Amino acid sequence: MPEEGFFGGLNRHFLTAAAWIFTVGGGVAGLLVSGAYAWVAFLCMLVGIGSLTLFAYEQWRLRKQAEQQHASNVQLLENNERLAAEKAELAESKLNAIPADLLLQLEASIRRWSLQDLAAYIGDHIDYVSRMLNLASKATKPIALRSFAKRAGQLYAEAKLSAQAIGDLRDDDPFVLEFKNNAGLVTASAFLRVHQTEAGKEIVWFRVETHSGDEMQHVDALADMQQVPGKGYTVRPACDVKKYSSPDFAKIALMLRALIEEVLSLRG
Amino acid sequence: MIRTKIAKILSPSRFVLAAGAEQGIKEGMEFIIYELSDDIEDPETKESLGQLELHKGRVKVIHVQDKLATATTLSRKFYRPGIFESAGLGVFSSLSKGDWYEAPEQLPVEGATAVAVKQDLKVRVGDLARNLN
Repeated sequence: MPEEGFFGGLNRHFLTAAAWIFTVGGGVAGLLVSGAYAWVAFLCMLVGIGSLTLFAYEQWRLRKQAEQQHASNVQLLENNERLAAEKAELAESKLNAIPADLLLQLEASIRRWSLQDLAAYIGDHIDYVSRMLNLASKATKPIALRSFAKRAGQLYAEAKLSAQAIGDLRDDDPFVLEFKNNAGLVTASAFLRVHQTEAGKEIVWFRVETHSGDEMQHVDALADMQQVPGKGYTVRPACDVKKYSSPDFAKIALMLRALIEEVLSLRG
Repeated sequence: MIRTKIAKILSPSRFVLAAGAEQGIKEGMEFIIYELSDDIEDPETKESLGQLELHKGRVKVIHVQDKLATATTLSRKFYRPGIFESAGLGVFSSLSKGDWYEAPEQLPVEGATAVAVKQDLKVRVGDLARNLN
Protein backbone atom coordinates (compact mmCIF):
# COMPACT_ATOMS: atom_id res chain seq x y z
CA MET A 1 0.00 0.00 0.00
CA PRO A 2 1.48 3.43 -0.93
CA GLU A 3 2.26 5.73 1.99
CA GLU A 4 -0.25 8.62 2.39
CA GLY A 5 1.13 12.10 3.04
CA PHE A 6 -0.20 14.67 5.54
CA PHE A 7 -2.14 16.70 3.00
CA GLY A 8 -3.43 13.57 1.32
CA GLY A 9 -4.83 12.37 4.64
CA LEU A 10 -6.22 15.83 5.44
CA ASN A 11 -7.97 15.99 2.10
CA ARG A 12 -9.43 12.48 2.53
CA HIS A 13 -10.73 13.20 6.05
CA PHE A 14 -11.64 16.85 5.45
CA LEU A 15 -15.31 16.35 4.56
CA THR A 16 -15.97 13.91 7.45
CA ALA A 17 -14.05 16.09 9.93
CA ALA A 18 -15.76 19.27 8.69
CA ALA A 19 -19.20 17.65 9.08
CA TRP A 20 -18.33 16.59 12.61
CA ILE A 21 -16.94 20.01 13.59
CA PHE A 22 -19.89 21.95 12.19
CA THR A 23 -22.47 19.54 13.69
CA VAL A 24 -20.87 19.55 17.16
CA GLY A 25 -19.98 23.25 16.91
CA GLY A 26 -23.55 24.07 15.83
CA GLY A 27 -24.96 21.99 18.69
CA VAL A 28 -22.68 23.68 21.27
CA ALA A 29 -23.54 27.15 19.87
CA GLY A 30 -27.28 26.32 20.02
CA LEU A 31 -27.02 25.12 23.63
CA LEU A 32 -25.01 28.21 24.62
CA VAL A 33 -27.61 30.50 23.01
CA SER A 34 -30.47 28.70 24.74
CA GLY A 35 -28.54 28.87 28.08
CA ALA A 36 -28.39 25.08 28.62
CA TYR A 37 -24.76 25.12 29.76
CA ALA A 38 -24.88 21.72 31.48
CA TRP A 39 -25.76 20.05 28.17
CA VAL A 40 -22.68 21.59 26.53
CA ALA A 41 -20.38 19.61 28.84
CA PHE A 42 -22.48 16.50 28.30
CA LEU A 43 -22.36 16.89 24.49
CA CYS A 44 -18.59 17.42 24.55
CA MET A 45 -18.10 14.32 26.72
CA LEU A 46 -20.39 12.23 24.47
CA VAL A 47 -18.61 13.34 21.31
CA GLY A 48 -15.18 12.69 22.93
CA ILE A 49 -16.14 9.17 24.03
CA GLY A 50 -17.65 8.45 20.59
CA SER A 51 -14.55 9.69 18.77
CA LEU A 52 -12.19 7.69 21.03
CA THR A 53 -14.27 4.54 20.51
CA LEU A 54 -14.23 4.94 16.73
CA PHE A 55 -10.47 5.64 16.78
CA ALA A 56 -9.83 2.55 18.92
CA TYR A 57 -11.97 0.42 16.56
CA GLU A 58 -10.08 1.73 13.52
CA GLN A 59 -6.73 0.93 15.15
CA TRP A 60 -7.90 -2.59 16.06
CA ARG A 61 -9.13 -3.16 12.49
CA LEU A 62 -5.84 -1.99 10.98
CA ARG A 63 -3.86 -4.23 13.33
CA LYS A 64 -6.03 -7.22 12.45
CA GLN A 65 -5.53 -6.48 8.73
CA ALA A 66 -1.75 -6.21 9.20
CA GLU A 67 -1.69 -9.51 11.09
CA GLN A 68 -3.59 -11.26 8.31
CA GLN A 69 -1.24 -9.80 5.67
CA HIS A 70 1.78 -10.90 7.69
CA ALA A 71 0.43 -14.45 8.07
CA SER A 72 -0.24 -14.63 4.32
CA ASN A 73 3.31 -13.38 3.53
CA VAL A 74 4.84 -15.90 5.92
CA GLN A 75 2.90 -18.72 4.25
CA LEU A 76 3.99 -17.57 0.78
CA LEU A 77 7.64 -17.46 1.84
CA GLU A 78 7.38 -20.91 3.42
CA ASN A 79 5.92 -22.32 0.18
CA ASN A 80 8.70 -20.73 -1.90
CA GLU A 81 11.32 -22.10 0.46
CA ARG A 82 9.82 -25.60 0.23
CA LEU A 83 9.73 -25.44 -3.60
CA ALA A 84 13.34 -24.24 -3.78
CA ALA A 85 14.43 -27.08 -1.47
CA GLU A 86 12.61 -29.63 -3.64
CA LYS A 87 14.23 -28.24 -6.82
CA ALA A 88 17.68 -28.37 -5.22
CA GLU A 89 17.10 -31.97 -4.15
CA LEU A 90 15.97 -32.97 -7.67
CA ALA A 91 18.97 -31.24 -9.30
CA GLU A 92 21.34 -32.97 -6.88
CA SER A 93 19.84 -36.39 -7.59
CA LYS A 94 20.11 -35.77 -11.36
CA LEU A 95 23.74 -34.72 -11.02
CA ASN A 96 24.46 -37.93 -9.14
CA ALA A 97 22.64 -39.98 -11.77
CA ILE A 98 24.48 -38.57 -14.84
CA PRO A 99 27.93 -40.11 -14.20
CA ALA A 100 26.29 -43.48 -13.44
CA ASP A 101 24.45 -43.42 -16.79
CA LEU A 102 27.54 -42.36 -18.69
CA LEU A 103 29.64 -45.06 -17.09
CA LEU A 104 27.07 -47.72 -17.95
CA GLN A 105 26.90 -46.58 -21.56
CA LEU A 106 30.69 -46.45 -21.84
CA GLU A 107 30.99 -49.90 -20.29
CA ALA A 108 28.49 -51.35 -22.78
CA SER A 109 30.19 -49.59 -25.68
CA ILE A 110 33.72 -50.66 -24.80
CA ARG A 111 32.75 -54.25 -24.08
CA ARG A 112 31.00 -54.62 -27.44
CA TRP A 113 33.33 -52.81 -29.79
CA SER A 114 36.79 -52.78 -28.37
CA LEU A 115 38.75 -55.66 -29.90
CA GLN A 116 37.07 -56.22 -33.28
CA ASP A 117 36.78 -52.56 -34.09
CA LEU A 118 40.32 -51.80 -33.03
CA ALA A 119 41.58 -54.65 -35.21
CA ALA A 120 39.52 -53.39 -38.15
CA TYR A 121 40.78 -49.82 -37.67
CA ILE A 122 44.42 -50.93 -37.49
CA GLY A 123 43.99 -53.15 -40.57
CA ASP A 124 42.42 -50.31 -42.56
CA HIS A 125 45.10 -47.89 -41.42
CA ILE A 126 47.91 -50.23 -42.47
CA ASP A 127 46.32 -50.40 -45.93
CA TYR A 128 45.93 -46.60 -45.98
CA VAL A 129 49.55 -45.95 -44.96
CA SER A 130 50.80 -48.39 -47.64
CA ARG A 131 48.83 -46.53 -50.30
CA MET A 132 49.97 -43.14 -49.04
CA LEU A 133 53.59 -44.32 -49.26
CA ASN A 134 52.96 -45.28 -52.89
CA LEU A 135 51.27 -41.93 -53.48
CA ALA A 136 54.24 -40.07 -51.99
CA SER A 137 56.62 -41.92 -54.32
CA LYS A 138 54.50 -40.92 -57.36
CA ALA A 139 53.51 -37.37 -56.40
CA THR A 140 56.80 -35.87 -55.29
CA LYS A 141 55.42 -32.31 -55.06
CA PRO A 142 52.68 -31.36 -52.55
CA ILE A 143 49.20 -31.79 -54.02
CA ALA A 144 48.12 -28.25 -54.98
CA LEU A 145 44.47 -27.34 -54.64
CA ARG A 146 42.81 -25.64 -57.61
CA SER A 147 39.39 -24.62 -56.38
CA PHE A 148 36.61 -24.88 -53.81
CA ALA A 149 32.98 -25.51 -54.76
CA LYS A 150 29.85 -25.87 -52.68
CA ARG A 151 26.90 -28.04 -53.64
CA ALA A 152 23.84 -29.03 -51.55
CA GLY A 153 25.34 -27.34 -48.49
CA GLN A 154 28.60 -29.31 -48.62
CA LEU A 155 31.99 -27.74 -49.34
CA TYR A 156 34.30 -29.59 -51.75
CA ALA A 157 37.91 -28.99 -52.74
CA GLU A 158 39.32 -29.97 -56.11
CA ALA A 159 42.93 -30.85 -56.94
CA LYS A 160 44.83 -32.09 -59.96
CA LEU A 161 46.68 -35.37 -59.59
CA SER A 162 48.22 -37.79 -62.09
CA ALA A 163 46.10 -40.80 -63.07
CA GLN A 164 48.83 -43.06 -61.70
CA ALA A 165 48.69 -41.38 -58.27
CA ILE A 166 44.88 -41.41 -58.27
CA GLY A 167 45.09 -45.20 -58.43
CA ASP A 168 46.34 -45.17 -54.84
CA LEU A 169 43.32 -43.28 -53.53
CA ARG A 170 40.16 -44.83 -52.14
CA ASP A 171 36.83 -43.28 -51.17
CA ASP A 172 36.98 -41.62 -47.73
CA ASP A 173 40.78 -41.62 -47.43
CA PRO A 174 41.61 -38.86 -44.89
CA PHE A 175 43.72 -35.85 -45.89
CA VAL A 176 44.72 -32.53 -44.32
CA LEU A 177 44.30 -29.21 -46.11
CA GLU A 178 47.13 -26.76 -45.42
CA PHE A 179 47.44 -23.06 -46.16
CA LYS A 180 50.71 -21.23 -46.75
CA ASN A 181 50.49 -17.49 -46.16
CA ASN A 182 52.69 -14.77 -47.71
CA ALA A 183 55.18 -15.04 -44.85
CA GLY A 184 55.61 -18.75 -45.61
CA LEU A 185 53.80 -19.93 -42.48
CA VAL A 186 51.95 -23.21 -43.08
CA THR A 187 48.82 -23.94 -41.02
CA ALA A 188 46.24 -26.73 -41.11
CA SER A 189 42.98 -25.41 -42.53
CA ALA A 190 40.64 -28.37 -42.74
CA PHE A 191 40.22 -32.12 -42.53
CA LEU A 192 39.28 -33.68 -45.87
CA ARG A 193 38.15 -37.04 -47.20
CA VAL A 194 38.43 -38.32 -50.76
CA HIS A 195 35.00 -37.86 -52.33
CA GLN A 196 35.38 -38.58 -56.04
CA THR A 197 38.25 -39.42 -58.36
CA GLU A 198 38.36 -38.99 -62.12
CA ALA A 199 41.52 -40.61 -63.41
CA GLY A 200 40.68 -39.68 -67.03
CA LYS A 201 40.60 -35.96 -66.22
CA GLU A 202 43.29 -36.29 -63.50
CA ILE A 203 40.94 -34.69 -60.96
CA VAL A 204 40.37 -35.51 -57.29
CA TRP A 205 37.45 -34.07 -55.33
CA PHE A 206 37.81 -33.89 -51.58
CA ARG A 207 34.93 -33.42 -49.15
CA VAL A 208 35.66 -30.82 -46.47
CA GLU A 209 34.72 -32.54 -43.21
CA THR A 210 35.85 -30.10 -40.50
CA HIS A 211 37.43 -26.66 -40.51
CA SER A 212 40.50 -25.96 -38.43
CA GLY A 213 41.62 -22.62 -39.89
CA ASP A 214 39.83 -19.31 -39.34
CA GLU A 215 39.96 -18.40 -43.03
CA MET A 216 37.94 -21.52 -43.92
CA GLN A 217 34.74 -19.91 -42.57
CA HIS A 218 35.28 -17.15 -45.12
CA VAL A 219 35.99 -19.63 -47.94
CA ASP A 220 32.88 -21.64 -46.99
CA ALA A 221 30.69 -18.51 -47.03
CA LEU A 222 32.19 -17.29 -50.30
CA ALA A 223 31.69 -20.70 -51.94
CA ASP A 224 27.96 -20.28 -51.35
CA MET A 225 27.96 -17.63 -54.06
CA GLN A 226 30.76 -18.63 -56.43
CA GLN A 227 33.61 -21.03 -56.99
CA VAL A 228 36.69 -20.02 -55.00
CA PRO A 229 40.27 -20.40 -56.29
CA GLY A 230 42.40 -22.64 -54.08
CA LYS A 231 45.63 -20.68 -54.44
CA GLY A 232 47.99 -21.16 -51.49
CA TYR A 233 46.33 -24.40 -50.38
CA THR A 234 47.96 -27.82 -50.52
CA VAL A 235 46.74 -31.25 -49.51
CA ARG A 236 48.73 -33.90 -47.66
CA PRO A 237 47.84 -37.35 -46.29
CA ALA A 238 46.54 -37.39 -42.73
CA CYS A 239 49.39 -39.75 -41.72
CA ASP A 240 53.05 -38.80 -41.50
CA VAL A 241 54.48 -40.92 -44.32
CA LYS A 242 58.05 -40.15 -43.23
CA LYS A 243 57.52 -42.23 -40.11
CA TYR A 244 56.80 -45.28 -42.23
CA SER A 245 59.32 -44.73 -45.01
CA SER A 246 61.02 -48.08 -44.61
CA PRO A 247 61.73 -50.21 -47.68
CA ASP A 248 60.35 -53.16 -45.74
CA PHE A 249 56.99 -51.57 -44.90
CA ALA A 250 55.09 -53.91 -47.23
CA LYS A 251 56.50 -56.91 -45.37
CA ILE A 252 55.82 -55.29 -41.98
CA ALA A 253 52.23 -54.56 -43.06
CA LEU A 254 51.70 -58.21 -43.98
CA MET A 255 53.14 -59.27 -40.63
CA LEU A 256 50.89 -56.86 -38.76
CA ARG A 257 47.81 -58.11 -40.59
CA ALA A 258 48.73 -61.72 -39.75
CA LEU A 259 49.28 -60.67 -36.14
CA ILE A 260 45.84 -59.01 -35.94
CA GLU A 261 44.09 -62.02 -37.45
CA GLU A 262 45.85 -64.30 -34.99
CA VAL A 263 44.90 -62.14 -32.00
CA LEU A 264 41.27 -62.03 -33.17
CA SER A 265 41.08 -65.79 -33.62
CA LEU A 266 42.65 -66.40 -30.20
CA ARG A 267 40.60 -63.83 -28.29
CA GLY A 268 37.34 -64.50 -30.14
CA MET B 1 34.26 -49.47 -61.37
CA ILE B 2 30.62 -50.55 -61.74
CA ARG B 3 28.17 -47.73 -62.41
CA THR B 4 24.46 -48.39 -62.39
CA LYS B 5 21.13 -46.84 -61.34
CA ILE B 6 18.45 -47.25 -58.69
CA ALA B 7 15.72 -49.32 -60.34
CA LYS B 8 13.27 -49.40 -57.44
CA ILE B 9 12.97 -48.19 -53.85
CA LEU B 10 11.60 -50.96 -51.66
CA SER B 11 11.88 -48.98 -48.40
CA PRO B 12 14.08 -46.19 -46.99
CA SER B 13 16.66 -48.89 -46.25
CA ARG B 14 16.25 -51.32 -49.21
CA PHE B 15 16.89 -50.58 -52.86
CA VAL B 16 17.05 -52.48 -56.14
CA LEU B 17 20.04 -51.78 -58.39
CA ALA B 18 19.69 -52.03 -62.15
CA ALA B 19 22.70 -54.30 -62.49
CA GLY B 20 23.41 -57.84 -61.38
CA ALA B 21 25.81 -60.73 -61.71
CA GLU B 22 26.14 -60.12 -65.44
CA GLN B 23 27.62 -56.70 -64.71
CA GLY B 24 29.99 -58.13 -62.10
CA ILE B 25 28.05 -57.32 -58.93
CA LYS B 26 28.76 -59.62 -56.00
CA GLU B 27 27.14 -60.01 -52.61
CA GLY B 28 28.75 -57.74 -49.99
CA MET B 29 29.81 -55.04 -52.48
CA GLU B 30 29.22 -51.50 -51.26
CA PHE B 31 27.64 -48.86 -53.49
CA ILE B 32 27.31 -45.09 -53.21
CA ILE B 33 23.98 -43.62 -54.35
CA TYR B 34 24.44 -40.18 -55.87
CA GLU B 35 23.23 -37.64 -58.35
CA LEU B 36 25.41 -35.43 -60.50
CA SER B 37 25.68 -31.69 -59.94
CA ASP B 38 25.75 -29.06 -62.67
CA ASP B 39 28.97 -28.73 -64.67
CA ILE B 40 31.72 -27.11 -62.60
CA GLU B 41 34.38 -24.90 -64.15
CA ASP B 42 37.79 -23.90 -62.87
CA PRO B 43 37.31 -20.31 -61.59
CA GLU B 44 40.61 -19.16 -63.13
CA THR B 45 41.10 -21.12 -66.36
CA LYS B 46 37.37 -21.74 -67.02
CA GLU B 47 38.30 -25.34 -67.85
CA SER B 48 35.47 -27.80 -67.23
CA LEU B 49 36.11 -29.90 -64.15
CA GLY B 50 33.13 -32.15 -64.79
CA GLN B 51 30.17 -32.91 -62.57
CA LEU B 52 30.43 -33.46 -58.85
CA GLU B 53 28.84 -36.53 -57.28
CA LEU B 54 26.35 -35.47 -54.60
CA HIS B 55 26.22 -38.49 -52.33
CA LYS B 56 22.89 -39.53 -50.86
CA GLY B 57 23.83 -42.67 -48.99
CA ARG B 58 25.61 -45.99 -49.04
CA VAL B 59 24.21 -49.46 -49.53
CA LYS B 60 25.54 -53.01 -49.35
CA VAL B 61 24.45 -55.72 -51.79
CA ILE B 62 22.62 -58.54 -50.02
CA HIS B 63 21.18 -60.46 -52.98
CA VAL B 64 22.33 -60.74 -56.60
CA GLN B 65 20.33 -61.84 -59.61
CA ASP B 66 21.42 -61.92 -63.25
CA LYS B 67 20.33 -58.40 -64.16
CA LEU B 68 19.54 -56.79 -60.81
CA ALA B 69 20.66 -56.74 -57.21
CA THR B 70 19.03 -55.89 -53.89
CA ALA B 71 20.98 -53.68 -51.53
CA THR B 72 20.36 -52.46 -48.03
CA THR B 73 21.74 -49.47 -46.18
CA LEU B 74 24.67 -50.06 -43.88
CA SER B 75 23.78 -50.99 -40.33
CA ARG B 76 24.41 -48.54 -37.57
CA LYS B 77 24.77 -49.28 -33.90
CA PHE B 78 22.17 -47.67 -31.64
CA TYR B 79 21.97 -47.68 -27.86
CA ARG B 80 18.63 -48.59 -26.32
CA PRO B 81 18.61 -47.36 -22.69
CA GLY B 82 17.07 -49.48 -19.91
CA ILE B 83 13.69 -48.60 -18.36
CA PHE B 84 15.15 -46.80 -15.35
CA GLU B 85 17.81 -45.08 -17.48
CA SER B 86 15.25 -43.62 -19.87
CA ALA B 87 13.12 -42.54 -16.91
CA GLY B 88 16.12 -40.62 -15.56
CA LEU B 89 16.35 -42.71 -12.40
CA GLY B 90 20.12 -43.06 -12.43
CA VAL B 91 20.25 -44.66 -8.99
CA PHE B 92 18.37 -47.73 -10.28
CA SER B 93 20.09 -47.81 -13.70
CA SER B 94 22.15 -50.87 -12.82
CA LEU B 95 18.92 -52.85 -12.37
CA SER B 96 17.94 -52.44 -16.03
CA LYS B 97 20.96 -51.96 -18.27
CA GLY B 98 20.45 -50.77 -21.81
CA ASP B 99 21.78 -52.67 -24.80
CA TRP B 100 23.31 -51.97 -28.20
CA TYR B 101 21.52 -53.09 -31.32
CA GLU B 102 22.12 -52.77 -35.04
CA ALA B 103 19.58 -51.42 -37.47
CA PRO B 104 19.83 -50.34 -41.10
CA GLU B 105 20.15 -46.60 -41.64
CA GLN B 106 17.04 -44.94 -43.08
CA LEU B 107 17.72 -42.79 -46.13
CA PRO B 108 15.47 -39.91 -47.11
CA VAL B 109 13.57 -41.20 -50.13
CA GLU B 110 11.23 -39.52 -52.55
CA GLY B 111 7.67 -39.64 -51.25
CA ALA B 112 8.68 -39.82 -47.61
CA THR B 113 8.12 -36.79 -45.43
CA ALA B 114 9.68 -37.90 -42.17
CA VAL B 115 13.38 -37.33 -42.84
CA ALA B 116 15.37 -34.67 -44.62
CA VAL B 117 19.05 -34.80 -43.84
CA LYS B 118 20.40 -32.53 -46.54
CA GLN B 119 18.61 -30.17 -48.83
CA ASP B 120 16.85 -32.10 -51.58
CA LEU B 121 19.16 -35.10 -51.50
CA LYS B 122 16.40 -37.66 -51.46
CA VAL B 123 16.96 -41.01 -53.14
CA ARG B 124 14.89 -41.35 -56.31
CA VAL B 125 14.37 -44.09 -58.88
CA GLY B 126 16.91 -43.40 -61.62
CA ASP B 127 19.58 -42.09 -59.24
CA LEU B 128 23.07 -43.25 -60.05
CA ALA B 129 25.03 -45.80 -58.04
CA ARG B 130 28.67 -46.83 -58.17
CA ASN B 131 30.70 -49.23 -56.12
CA LEU B 132 33.25 -47.97 -53.62
CA ASN B 133 36.82 -47.97 -54.88
